[in-house]
Amino acid sequence: MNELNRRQFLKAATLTGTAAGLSGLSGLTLADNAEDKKLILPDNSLNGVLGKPHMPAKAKRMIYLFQSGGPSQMELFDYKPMLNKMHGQEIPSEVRGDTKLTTMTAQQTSLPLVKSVFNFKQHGESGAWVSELLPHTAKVVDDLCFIKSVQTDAINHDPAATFILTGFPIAGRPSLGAWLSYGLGSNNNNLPPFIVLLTNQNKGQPIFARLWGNGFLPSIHQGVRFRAGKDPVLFVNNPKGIDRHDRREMLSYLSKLHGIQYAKTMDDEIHSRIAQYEMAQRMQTSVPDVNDFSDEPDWVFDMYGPDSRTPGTFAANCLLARRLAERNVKFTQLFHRGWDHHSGLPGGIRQMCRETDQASAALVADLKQRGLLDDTLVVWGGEFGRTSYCQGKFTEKAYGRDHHPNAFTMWMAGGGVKSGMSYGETDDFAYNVTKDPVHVHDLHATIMHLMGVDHERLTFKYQGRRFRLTDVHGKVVKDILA
Amino acid sequence: MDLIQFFGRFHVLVLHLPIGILLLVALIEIHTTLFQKERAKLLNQVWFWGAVSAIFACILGYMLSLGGGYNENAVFIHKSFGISVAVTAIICTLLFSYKKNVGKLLTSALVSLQLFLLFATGHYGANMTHGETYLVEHAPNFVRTIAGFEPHKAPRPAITQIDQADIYLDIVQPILKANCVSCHNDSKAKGQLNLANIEGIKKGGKIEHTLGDGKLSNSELYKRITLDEHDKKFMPAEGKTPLTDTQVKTIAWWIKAGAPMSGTLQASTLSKEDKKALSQTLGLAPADNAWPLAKRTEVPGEVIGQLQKQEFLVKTIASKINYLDVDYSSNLQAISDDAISALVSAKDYIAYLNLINSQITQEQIAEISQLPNLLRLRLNKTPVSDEGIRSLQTLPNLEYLNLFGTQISDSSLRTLTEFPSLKQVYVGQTGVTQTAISEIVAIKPDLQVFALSNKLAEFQESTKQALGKETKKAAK
Ligand code: HEC
Repeated sequence: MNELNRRQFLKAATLTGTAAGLSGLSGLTLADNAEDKKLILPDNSLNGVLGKPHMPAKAKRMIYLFQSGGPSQMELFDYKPMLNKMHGQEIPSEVRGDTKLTTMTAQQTSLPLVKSVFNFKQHGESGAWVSELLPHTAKVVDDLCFIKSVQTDAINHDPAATFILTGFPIAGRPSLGAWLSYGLGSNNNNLPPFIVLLTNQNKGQPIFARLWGNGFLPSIHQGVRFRAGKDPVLFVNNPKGIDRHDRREMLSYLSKLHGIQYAKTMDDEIHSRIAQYEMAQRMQTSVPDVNDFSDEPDWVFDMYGPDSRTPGTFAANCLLARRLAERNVKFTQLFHRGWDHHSGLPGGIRQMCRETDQASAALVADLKQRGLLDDTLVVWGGEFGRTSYCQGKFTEKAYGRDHHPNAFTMWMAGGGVKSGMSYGETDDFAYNVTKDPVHVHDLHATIMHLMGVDHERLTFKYQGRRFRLTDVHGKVVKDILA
Repeated sequence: MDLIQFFGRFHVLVLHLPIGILLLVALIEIHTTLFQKERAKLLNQVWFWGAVSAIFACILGYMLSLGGGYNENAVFIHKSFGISVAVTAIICTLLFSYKKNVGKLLTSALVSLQLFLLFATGHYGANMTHGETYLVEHAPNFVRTIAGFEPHKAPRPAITQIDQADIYLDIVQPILKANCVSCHNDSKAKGQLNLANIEGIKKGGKIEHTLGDGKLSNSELYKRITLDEHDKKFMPAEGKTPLTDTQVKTIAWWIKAGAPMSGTLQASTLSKEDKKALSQTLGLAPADNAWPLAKRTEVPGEVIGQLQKQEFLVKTIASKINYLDVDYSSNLQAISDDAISALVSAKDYIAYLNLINSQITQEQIAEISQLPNLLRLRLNKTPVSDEGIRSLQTLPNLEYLNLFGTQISDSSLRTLTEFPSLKQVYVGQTGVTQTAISEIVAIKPDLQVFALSNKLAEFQESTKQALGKETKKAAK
């Protein structure tokens, strides 16, 4: 008895109760809820805890191109001629209102507006404004849906990234991908449903594994990071001296032992463990297969740009994301760092765009020509935007912009989102949202909706309360649904 | 702020007290009399509190009635009965408290009168809140006849063509009836607006231009149904289910057409958008984003089990949509004949089928043509040929066909125009030529044919330039 902790004892006691036919009584503790049933059912990760989506999924998969650091909306998508006119003038106090500033610019004595040094043009039939920094994205604007009015609560990188990726600014909640894996399961039993690809780079804001963590959900739902190079997933290959057959034998026995242990302790993590060992073995073949680009013709690499031949670049990761989408991986999350331009913005952002523009656009075009964009949702964006006033030196080359949570631009494509559309508006200074604000919670609610999930009905009971990705917030942005 | 209204609204709370107290005491009095039990003295106190609560209910009710919005006649009847309840309760209290032996006959008479008045008051009060027809709305016809109501109207004949629809009876009235009439009717006209009949609608409410002059911006009614749901003035009020987008579009069309109250629709005069919304309102066209296939009962477990045994990955489309999404692509091996026959035995349930990389043969493809409910089919990178495409031509519901990276040629493209429901087809990296695509698009404009991206050349060009720059740099 002293081997069991209190919870496990209670759980076991209720289960015995059920077996004895006291189902009425045990119903009190084991509510008739999918997530609670999971406590006793063996893990069925393929269909997720929901079994079937709440509504038909417009998007069966999702690719999230996360631009860490906070790309400047004024240099990329949110064209503001007023900034040219008022270049160098103080930002009007009625525009600034009582918005909070970071400690970095709060001490600045002057907050002069600064224009974008990059030219803007309208593109495509939809006439979307895109700056010269993104010549390739400009080509596919008719497949994109720009949201110019995204708002977040946090003003610093870590809480803001944590917020937009987990729905809460403090670490510890499950990430978006983990929720999707938990709710919907997987569409490929040889690859994990949630895969994370980081650009190999040593600049930019640090990012942590908890951004793709499972929080309090069972650990099989955490994102699996693929690394560039020979050993994409660590510890999947057999140790030296052990062949496939030995490994299989070992796993079968291990699984039996796990079964015995589970019967004793009712610890759900055991199911996760078994599932992970089994998945790891299947990944010994599936991972090399998806990472082997030798079956891609030259024109594909030309599409994604010269970097795409170098593993670990953003371009190669975009191509890999497409290959994962072809294999029905539910959620692929890319991270690209370095958008945090407090100073020297023009040079910095030019470099960032060079690294990401072509591949992002190519991904959309490639998914489209392969008939995958229909049911794959692509999302591009950072954790917040940047201020229209200058941070640091006020010169053409050296100007910078500070963090700005009140209004920034993201784009979505495919997966049941209207194309060639721009939603939401900001004022003449790209500072405040003037029409159709989309809060991060709304963004999450909308993504969930597109994936077939009612965000209010996917919950997990933890520490005595039911949690969901959108907490008690979130409205589906109906106007962008196709 | 209006204190009288503030207190008046407590009427609906307080009124339950006299009902409960007086009902209880009246029943006990009858019981005592009938079975010759000893009468408890406590009953006198109960009568007293019954009378007090009745008086309070009357006062609050009067305050509520000052706010208006109710039919005067109905208020008068309810008020009369209500006051009678209070008066009778006072009489009973006094009589039972101060007279030692009240005769059996008198007791029975008074108590019965009290009960009758109580029920009558309650009934007329409820009629005002729920509407006179509330009780008999779902009653069988004989009950309605006894209660003095017309028997149920025969339902309107089902509309099969948009031209048959009566503008008021088939389109406007059903929407108002289902969503607005509970608060805007003959006996209770909130905002002095009665939406239950044509005269009421024409007359409008407190604010002028309820309907407006044919411009949406001048219509109070349209404004009310398109406000933010959380706005205090949003209609239907009190958190009732909002109108659907289609219903709002329908009302918008009606107001713009000058709010006609008679006549039938003229399909030829309608814009494409309006026609769609009206057809959806009439149930002639499926709602936007509606699942295109007929409703089915739950997919039997064996069907799913059989498919899983053949290594298909099987998912149900959604919780009330009992169709399957069946996937073979992660197996990376040739599909067996057994697997194909498993598909055929599950044929009614399969809506999405993914056979990418399955090396499916010509004979096997012909089998697939038996899947009547197939909506989406992926055959990318399979050896499917022009002949294979021909055998799929009979699929009645196929909307999406993916042939990326297959061997098909221009002749397949011509076959594709014969597919009854096809909307999207993917022919990148096949033998299909751009000329053939242009020809097809001219014949069948609503078929979207996707070849390799037309942006490809530009992407390649820029890669070439970038590489060129690098080599130059390296050379330096
Ligand atoms: C739950 C009760 C309720 C329902 C259901 C309801 N209303 Fe109302 N309505 C009210 C109340 C109360 C008012 C008066 C207060 C106000 O003006 O907001 C009102 C006022 C109005 C007015 C303004 C009348 C005037 O001239 O002042 C219009 C127009 C209206 N409703 C339209 C509708 C329509 C159309 C529907 C159905 C889609 C509807 N209402 C459903 C309660 C309701």
